Amino acid sequence: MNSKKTENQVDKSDRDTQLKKFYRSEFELYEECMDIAQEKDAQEKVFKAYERLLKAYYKNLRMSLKITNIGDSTQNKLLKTQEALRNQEEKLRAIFDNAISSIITIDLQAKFLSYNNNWLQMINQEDVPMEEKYFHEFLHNEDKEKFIVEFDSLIKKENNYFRLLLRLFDQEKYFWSDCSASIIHNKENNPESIIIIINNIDEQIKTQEKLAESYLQLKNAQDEILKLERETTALAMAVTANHEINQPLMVIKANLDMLKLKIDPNNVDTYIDKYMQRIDESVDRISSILDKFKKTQEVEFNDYGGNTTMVSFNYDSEFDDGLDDPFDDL
Amino acid sequence: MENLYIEGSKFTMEVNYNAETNLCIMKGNSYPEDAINFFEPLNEWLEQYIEEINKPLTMEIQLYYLNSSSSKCFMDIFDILDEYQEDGGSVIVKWFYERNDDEIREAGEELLEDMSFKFEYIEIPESSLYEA
Repeated sequence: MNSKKTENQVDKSDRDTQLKKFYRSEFELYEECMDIAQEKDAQEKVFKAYERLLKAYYKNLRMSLKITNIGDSTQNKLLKTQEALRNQEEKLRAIFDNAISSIITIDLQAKFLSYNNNWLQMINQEDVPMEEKYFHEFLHNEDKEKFIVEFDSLIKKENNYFRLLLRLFDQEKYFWSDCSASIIHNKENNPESIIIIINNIDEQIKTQEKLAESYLQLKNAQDEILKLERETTALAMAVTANHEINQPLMVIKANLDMLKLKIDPNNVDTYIDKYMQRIDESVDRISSILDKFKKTQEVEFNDYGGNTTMVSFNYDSEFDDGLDDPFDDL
Repeated sequence: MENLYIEGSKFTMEVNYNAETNLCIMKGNSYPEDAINFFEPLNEWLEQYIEEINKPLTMEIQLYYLNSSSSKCFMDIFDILDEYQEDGGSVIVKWFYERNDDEIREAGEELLEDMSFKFEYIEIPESSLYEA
């Protein structure tokens, strides 16, 4: 038999003490009357005391009635509260059983206390009781550590809630799940159990991974297209420049040669000879650049500091398009 | 005279008796394990207040649950205040109750019906009392 007294129960052996404290004035009167009754010729005194006692008795009757009424009223209120709680419990049970998410409760050792059908379906163990199992048995080895850290923080009252993405085992494979855990306290406000709401987000995670991969591929393709566009533009400019500059350059070269023929080589001014030599060299340089443009197979863009970009024309020196050198005729 | 403050718990009221503001507040649940011992310092404080301060006193009570022992103890408190009023003191008791909480209002009516001091019942919005 359980001899431990409940919280609101007063020890029965203290009943007399309690009575004396509770009805102090009445008790004093009772003792006074008992003393008087022992005296000689006490009849009148006893009657007076009895009259006082009757008044006190009447007061106590009223008091008892009030306490009874208040007790009934409080009991009624408790019953109403109990009924409201029962309704709430039914609603919660319906939510628990029919939730789209898996809902489980575990004790402070992570051992299962309760779970809904969705949990059993999620882990493919519909006919297996969970009562002797631990939540971390279903976790991927790499996720156990982070679960234990957060779990401990709940028990140590450092947090009231955590949310983790964890891999769970469904007897065939691991799948990603979104787990939200909250602590449940007992009436002494100490952690008693933990409720975890679990959603299977495996498809979502896989879709996200595929999306990230597709995005990367798309970005690479975009970069490639951009590079090709720039190269094509640069090459077109090179070809155009070659065609446009070639003709006037030939005229400069021909006229320079004509000028050389008109000047007596034995009586030429030193400066004029030097200037003509510079023009000749520059024409050769331009001709060389145009030749480079003509043979270009690919271009390269290099940063030149700030917002400036330099273009390098890479060409194969062996490449020959079969066209004649524009100056060969001169 | 020192003020009296007792922190509330799930089973006991928060008590705040202030001799400077002449205001005594009790709020919360009242079903202590030992009601007599819990209420004893409250009665002693009131008796000392009447003896030493002797000014108009306001008592505000906001309850959600009270057990039978507490009912008796509240009657003792009101007896002290009733006697103070009859001896020339001035007392007003404000009994707060939640809207729709007929039980607590009725308990107040039971406890206060024979008293000579002024008292009033004040309805407050639902739940705010319990959270307080």
